[in-house]
Amino acid sequence: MSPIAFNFGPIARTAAGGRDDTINLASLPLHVLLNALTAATSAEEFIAWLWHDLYKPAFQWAKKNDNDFSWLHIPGIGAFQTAEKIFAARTGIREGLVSTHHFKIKSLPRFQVQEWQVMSDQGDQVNLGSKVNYLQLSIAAEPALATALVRAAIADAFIEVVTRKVAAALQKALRLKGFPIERVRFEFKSVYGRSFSSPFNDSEIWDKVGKHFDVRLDGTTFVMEHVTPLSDTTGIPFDTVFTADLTGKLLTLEELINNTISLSELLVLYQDSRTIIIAVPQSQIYTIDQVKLTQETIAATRKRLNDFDVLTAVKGVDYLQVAFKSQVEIRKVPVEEIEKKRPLEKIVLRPSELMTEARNDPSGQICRLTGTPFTSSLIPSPTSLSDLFSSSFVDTEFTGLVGDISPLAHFYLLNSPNSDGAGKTGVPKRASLRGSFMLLAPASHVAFDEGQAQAIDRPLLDQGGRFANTLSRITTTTQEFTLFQQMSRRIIANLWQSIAPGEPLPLPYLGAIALTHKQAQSIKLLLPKLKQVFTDVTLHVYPFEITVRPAIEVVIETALTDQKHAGKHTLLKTTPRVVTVEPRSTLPLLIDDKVQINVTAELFERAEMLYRLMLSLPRQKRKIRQSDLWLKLILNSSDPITAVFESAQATIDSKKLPKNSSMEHAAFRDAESFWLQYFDTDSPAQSWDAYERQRLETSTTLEQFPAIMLLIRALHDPDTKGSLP
Amino acid sequence: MTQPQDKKPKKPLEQTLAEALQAAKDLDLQSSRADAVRLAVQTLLLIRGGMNPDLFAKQDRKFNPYPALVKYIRASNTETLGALADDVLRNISPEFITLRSLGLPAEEIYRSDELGQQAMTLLKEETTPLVMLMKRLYQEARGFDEADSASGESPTPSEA
Repeated sequence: MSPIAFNFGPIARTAAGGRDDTINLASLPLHVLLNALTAATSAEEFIAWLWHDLYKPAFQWAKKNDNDFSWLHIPGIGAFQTAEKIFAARTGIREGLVSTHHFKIKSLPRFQVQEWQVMSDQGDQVNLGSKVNYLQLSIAAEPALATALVRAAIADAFIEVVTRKVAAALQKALRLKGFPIERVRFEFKSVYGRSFSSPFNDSEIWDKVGKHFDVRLDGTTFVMEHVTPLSDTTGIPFDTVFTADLTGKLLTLEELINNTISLSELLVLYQDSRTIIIAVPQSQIYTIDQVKLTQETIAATRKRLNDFDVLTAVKGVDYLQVAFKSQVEIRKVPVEEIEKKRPLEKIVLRPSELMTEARNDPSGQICRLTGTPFTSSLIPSPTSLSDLFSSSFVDTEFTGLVGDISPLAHFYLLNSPNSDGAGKTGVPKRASLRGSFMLLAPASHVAFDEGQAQAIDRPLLDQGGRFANTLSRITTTTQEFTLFQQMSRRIIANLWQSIAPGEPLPLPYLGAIALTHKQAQSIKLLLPKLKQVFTDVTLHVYPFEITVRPAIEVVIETALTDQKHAGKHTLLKTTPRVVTVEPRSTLPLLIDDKVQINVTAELFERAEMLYRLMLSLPRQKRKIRQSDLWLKLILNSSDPITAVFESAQATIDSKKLPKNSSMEHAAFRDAESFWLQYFDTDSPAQSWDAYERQRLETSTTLEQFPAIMLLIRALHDPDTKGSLP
Repeated sequence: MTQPQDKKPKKPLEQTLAEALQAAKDLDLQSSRADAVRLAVQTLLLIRGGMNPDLFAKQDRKFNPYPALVKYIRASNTETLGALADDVLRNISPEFITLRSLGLPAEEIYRSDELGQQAMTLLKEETTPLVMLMKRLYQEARGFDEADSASGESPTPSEA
């Protein structure tokens, strides 16, 4: 399991002075792009925001007093005095706009929305940016699996609709001297071996560092080049290129993995299984039309559900419209009159607020399938159970459902195996919301150990000693949420790329993999790749390096040999879970309607190890495979060599043996070649010790991992059936 | 397990057995069952050493003693190492040979202590891997193996 590493560029923000001594993990590109997208009121401001912190990567730090430092980075001031004039002229903006982003100078122009109004708390993010516009999708439903696909489709549709609208607005507004800006590229290079006099002087810093920075338009790409002088580049992963695409187009998975970020990723501030919060540009650039957004989200959702073969309208009733009316809300996040602030933790609970309202409503009901409180004027038509459930239905606790079904859960009932003419002779059963299912979606959570965030380098121009000591804390702003998702999205994209190179994700705007029973084979192909979830993730954010644990929302359900699996309503038996990407993670895997296991790295490794050994046992006699038999024997305490011998005896076709051979001879040869392949060394004693280690490991496998056989079959059995009866 | 390249015996059976038995005693094993493994391998060498060289002389149907060892050990109902060696050898090679070097190990396996029982259990449960280990020791000592199908050796009684 090879480790994963991200490098989106160096840090952009710290708090230093007084009792503050903190850093933020969002990289410089993320910081300036998010400022530009959310704070700019014009093309001029957008462009100015892009290079307002241009010289931060020089890492010139000065000490002001005992415990206070200044990060000298502003174009137009100090060592970078001449830069503003040059780049302002080149990018067609007024001089002063950039240099005043921290200070007010009456004679100079200033941004209309200031940085503190974008990130209202520079330390721990408690509130949404006070002057930023946010759109929120809320799905008032408990996170039950029965509604997971529909909820994910709605979320993906919502992000797409908003992204396309913002992209159109940006394309209209964003022009540099008449040319459109479609992409923004950040190049970070390190240089070393440059000596500086002590103390530094501004002209020297400009000559050796500052003048090597660049800002320019290259075609439709706005390019910024940064140079960081290091004392020694050995072992410091620094150089990187980061590109943002502002067109709203879907990026290829390769682009995503190679440090290109999409507009939808930049806009989505927060996402979980019930709510999405998207930041949108200021009203001068983008005007919010909630009614239109809702209508278009419904249309885009319907298209997705059609693609998944999910019925949305039956007998003249449009269940999607009903669901949106009852359980889905798209709104502009309001500024509360009293507090004038918008605490993030409160905003993300909007779906719960909606459900509380439904619970308290005199006409409120509780969904018997998902436990969701709801109000709805839709009275479901009486349905006979035989229409809804197949004869192999196993979830008897749900029989008798006739009413009190929330509109979103209706899709589950509507799409039963026999619904709408399915299941009759010549018509395949409907399985879009039954049977095998996989959902891997980015989650806005990340875990890390602050104590591990040590500076791996002291920048050459850190004359003040900002990074000389251990920092006390890492703080999280809204911009870190974007970073967290960015990592989760890339991990998911990488997984998808491993089985479907070149193909877009099934839910690309959400950054999610969603596979239904029809794609059971793809689920099976993905299962072995999930070992990537058990890997270390490192974030390089110069001058820091930190192990992080990005989060993914996971549902995995796969049928093994159960031919009637999709008729058994197994989606009712599991729930989505958020897991972190790390060696200690656990993945819930529902094998069929009876067995759910938690897969750990150890279980995965043991299964992989046994499977590797099984690969060298190819014999098969009728339906008995030598490898299967070998596995059963070793899990029943046979040693691996005796198991080869015995499994060979059971699977050798005696009619095909040479005349002068016997069953014992052939089986012995199998055992001997296994011994030679796995245990033979130069020393007989070492060979025996290697054998004993393997014997011990295999003999304790069943005790340690009772579900090992199921996992091996789930991961590697090509004959596993996922089709409907 | 490397097969010897040289297809002629470099040393007499007597010396082969003595060296293989010594190598078995000297096995530097990390296993907690090391003593029992060494005793089990000595038992196997005793059986292997007692096999009549005439068994390997038939050109039309080459005899491979190792699968035969596995077969008869697994089939034996005996309860002690000595009885097992006797039972297996009589099944494979009723006209077994005697070598001076077989004396001490023969004495050692006629024991009824816990170690003997452990070695017996090992031999019954892990026959095949133990035969692999014994084969390796025997071949390294012999520099050649009559069981090799390409072998052209025709052992003489004088060697026995």
